[in-house]
Amino acid sequence: MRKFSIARMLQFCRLQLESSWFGNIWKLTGGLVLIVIFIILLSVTGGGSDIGRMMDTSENLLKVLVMMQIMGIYADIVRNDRPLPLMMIPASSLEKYISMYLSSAAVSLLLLAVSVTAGSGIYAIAGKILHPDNNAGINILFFREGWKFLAGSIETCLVSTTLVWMMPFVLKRKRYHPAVSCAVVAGFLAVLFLPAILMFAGVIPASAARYSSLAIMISVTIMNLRWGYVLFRQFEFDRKSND
Amino acid sequence: MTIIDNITYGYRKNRPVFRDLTLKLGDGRIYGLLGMNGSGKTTLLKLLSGMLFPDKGRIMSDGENVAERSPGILQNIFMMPAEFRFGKISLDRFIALNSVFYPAFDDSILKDCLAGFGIGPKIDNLDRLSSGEKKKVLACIAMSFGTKILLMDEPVSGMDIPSRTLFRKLLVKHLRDEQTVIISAHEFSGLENIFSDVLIVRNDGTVYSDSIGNISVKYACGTDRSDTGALYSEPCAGGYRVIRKNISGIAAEIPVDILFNAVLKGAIR
Repeated sequence: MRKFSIARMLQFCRLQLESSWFGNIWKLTGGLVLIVIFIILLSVTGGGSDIGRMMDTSENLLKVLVMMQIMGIYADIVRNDRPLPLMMIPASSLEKYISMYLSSAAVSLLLLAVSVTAGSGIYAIAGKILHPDNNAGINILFFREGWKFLAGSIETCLVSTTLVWMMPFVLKRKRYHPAVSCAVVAGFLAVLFLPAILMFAGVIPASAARYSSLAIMISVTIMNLRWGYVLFRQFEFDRKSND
Repeated sequence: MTIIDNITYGYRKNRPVFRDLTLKLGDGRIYGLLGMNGSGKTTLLKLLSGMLFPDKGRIMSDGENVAERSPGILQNIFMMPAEFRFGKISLDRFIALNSVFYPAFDDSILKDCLAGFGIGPKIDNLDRLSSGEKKKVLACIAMSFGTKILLMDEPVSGMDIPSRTLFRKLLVKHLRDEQTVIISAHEFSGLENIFSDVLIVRNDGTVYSDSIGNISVKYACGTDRSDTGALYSEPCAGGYRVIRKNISGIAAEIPVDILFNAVLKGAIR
């Protein structure tokens, strides 16, 4: 039997999305709309009269939400209270791993669509109330400045892939010596912020820091994907019960 | 053939649940997995299914390491857990989404089992069923998936007595020749009549394993006024229930409950 099949991976993705997330798509969308409205109202009430700042806050909070949902998808795959746990479905670990990112992308796209639609609408209304004389047009959430959306997407990918290895690593931390766990997390953060640290220390110029940051982010994302897969393969359902 | 090859497994370091355990599980057998609470029955089922990885040793099923969790291995293993949640999903949807992964799935077996239990095939929300009904539905699904290894953790707990009898009949009816079933059970609820073999997990992590056929030739059980010369005895109304060596050479019936006690007390090793 082939170790990787796109058809089987898509079947697995469909199984997870339909049984956990999109089983009732309207209910899910409704829930997301409420969350998005809550986040935007939170930003509007705390943002004074500067619409740009309010939108920045909303975008950042929504980005955090997108980053966190991959943890929900991961937890759904490794949970063992299903009659047929997803890890025990006859698909390879790699198929399940890639499917996890696909499911996350699907949920993120839905969240983005809801945020853009509901968020931009609310901000258009808020703009009319706060600045009735301003006829600058509608600002679309996340797409106000093209490059910012791209930068935000890369940032979200980096954090999401980090969470994918960080979560099982923290859950299984007792397997490692406490010093090892702390050293891994500290080392990871040190590598990530190394160019900024060197720049502030005056060792490298800002342009070099920018390029080395980009190179480190790409390398770290690749390492995240690799290590996340290794830990995903080794995930055990070690809950002690019903013996 | 499934081979448990010298495995050691523990949830904590220096406290292994199993130490250097070696077992061979034959095809086409129904194993009764018995043991006290916390002895490691569920752990053994999880190790066999690939949910847990042995600290040492390996479990091979038809020459493949179960811990690899490859699609080929997983489509031959179904583990029915003791506790589970279906979630808000209809039976049709659940089957449509899951059965595609199991090439030996047989819809007619599913329908026959559901009908046997008196459950209609249209269930809109599996989460709304009672715990006993959920167990029945999952048992039907497990039988219909046709995996080579069927692991059932407390499948009849929560089922009423007539349903336990039905479960036994349906399992025997739909079991295929090459299928191996391991049923873990706390209680002796009529299931012992279908066991071809017993696996008794002792609290020290060792496992007694033998076929009912062998046991009935080796040992004899009866009621006696005296327990002199018995391998194991329990006081009862007429004197003692005893297990002795079978010297007649004729197969004798051994109730699983007294065999279980005799193994746990160390009378049978």
